[in-house]
Amino acid sequence: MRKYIFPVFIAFMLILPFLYLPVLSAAGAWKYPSLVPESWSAAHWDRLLASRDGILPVVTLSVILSGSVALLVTVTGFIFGRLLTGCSGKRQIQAAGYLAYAFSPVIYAYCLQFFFLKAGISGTIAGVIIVQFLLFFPFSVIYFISHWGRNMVSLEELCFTLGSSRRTAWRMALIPVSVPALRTAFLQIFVFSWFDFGLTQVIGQGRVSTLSLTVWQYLAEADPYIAAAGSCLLLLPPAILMLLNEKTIRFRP
Amino acid sequence: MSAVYRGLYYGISLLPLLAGIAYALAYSLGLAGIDTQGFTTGYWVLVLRSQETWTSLLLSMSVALTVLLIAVPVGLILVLFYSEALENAVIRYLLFLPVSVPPLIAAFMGTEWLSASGMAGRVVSGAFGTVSPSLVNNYWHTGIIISMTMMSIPFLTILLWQYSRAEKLSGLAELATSLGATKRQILFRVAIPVLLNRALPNIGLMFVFLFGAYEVPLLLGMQSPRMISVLIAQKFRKFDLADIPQAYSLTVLYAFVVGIIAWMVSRTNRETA
Repeated sequence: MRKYIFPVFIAFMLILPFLYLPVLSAAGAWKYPSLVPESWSAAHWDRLLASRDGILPVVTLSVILSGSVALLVTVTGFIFGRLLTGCSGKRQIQAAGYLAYAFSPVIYAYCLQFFFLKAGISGTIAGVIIVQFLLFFPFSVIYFISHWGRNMVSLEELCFTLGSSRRTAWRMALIPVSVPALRTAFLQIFVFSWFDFGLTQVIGQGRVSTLSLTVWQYLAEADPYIAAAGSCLLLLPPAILMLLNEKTIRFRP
Repeated sequence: MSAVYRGLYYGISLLPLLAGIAYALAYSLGLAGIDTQGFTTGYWVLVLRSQETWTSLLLSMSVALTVLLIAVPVGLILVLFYSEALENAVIRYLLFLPVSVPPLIAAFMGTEWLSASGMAGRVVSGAFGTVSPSLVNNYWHTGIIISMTMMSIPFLTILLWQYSRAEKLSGLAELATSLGATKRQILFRVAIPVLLNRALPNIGLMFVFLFGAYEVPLLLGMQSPRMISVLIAQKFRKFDLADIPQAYSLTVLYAFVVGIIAWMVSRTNRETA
């Protein structure tokens, strides 16, 4: 039993602040210094669901945007992972990818802003998808390079030995065995994109309102109750995805 | 053919970044941008002479270092002394769950818990009857450090836990015991060095990530000094046109520091591999 106390304590401390989110979003009056709300109310949720043009279009846009980014990045990463397997200079490839990836997204976005303005895609959904693609692509390639190891290459060779064409080998063998890896990458990149703030804020120029930007808006307006309700919506998908997926979904490299 | 693919990869993942930095450099030297007067080193002199620049860089590094100095030992303790508990899937899920919390919400929770009238303050006032000091927007950046440490612990614990399995640490410990090592020696001469060595590149990346953190210091930081990402973003957002070239020179400076750290990380990577 003693073996469990410290880990459980740490986990409790880490999770406690977030259990507070649903409580805050459903609190009526909550004056200092009481530890629990004096009354409960659904007003904040009502307000969130009915606010401005409604939260529904924002959620829909976020899902579509993150879904397209995740699909695009997963597929290109999977293909590039294969193309770069057996290439020399794997270490440099990895270093370059991580460098781009660890760079502060908001500064990265400011660096690219000029080119996006010139191309006329600043402030558009396409612009946000492209900038997110640029940042998450290296992560995906590095992930799939480690997936395309010896075993996968042998499997491909085996298919060829047995007389299959390149196309059948991919369709019948390589893609099916890669489904778990593809799923993990898709979910992971979906979460990256779902939470993105800096890139969307700068390149979207306030015209692409995703859920995380909307939550930020509520925070900036010093409206913690409705921000808490928005945060619950924001946190729900990754928490579910982590339950469904054996591999951990993380926020960063 | 493989050279072409490699070129394409670098073209997508590095070229935009390098082009952006090149543009930033040109702008900061007065060679690009609207209403430019031609080549000048004036903005660079201004930025390099400004105390704000160096305070901000030093602050960002100290915060990143402090966070790692707390989070890495906690991760090591969990992995080395509580591996049994980590085998439990439920505990692992709970412990690793906060990895998927975005910085924006971590920052929000920081304000809600750590400000004077926040939840932590309510607990303190309930337990001791005193008013707690505000831990956010303060000189020591406690709120930022606490929030970022809490975000970093799950990530580092996962990392160290995966490495302890990949390196078959229990086998190594057994071997060391049969060679006559004491528990203390196993810990300090085998387990910790093996794990840290393996994790060093990732810890270095974590440093870069914490160094450039944006959302948490944006919400929990003071007006001055500010961490580097916030300083740069705010300079970009000012309406004074003279601030923009300075923002670009700070960007180049930031990229330079990140480049040096990345170079150091890739060197350690080579030695340990």
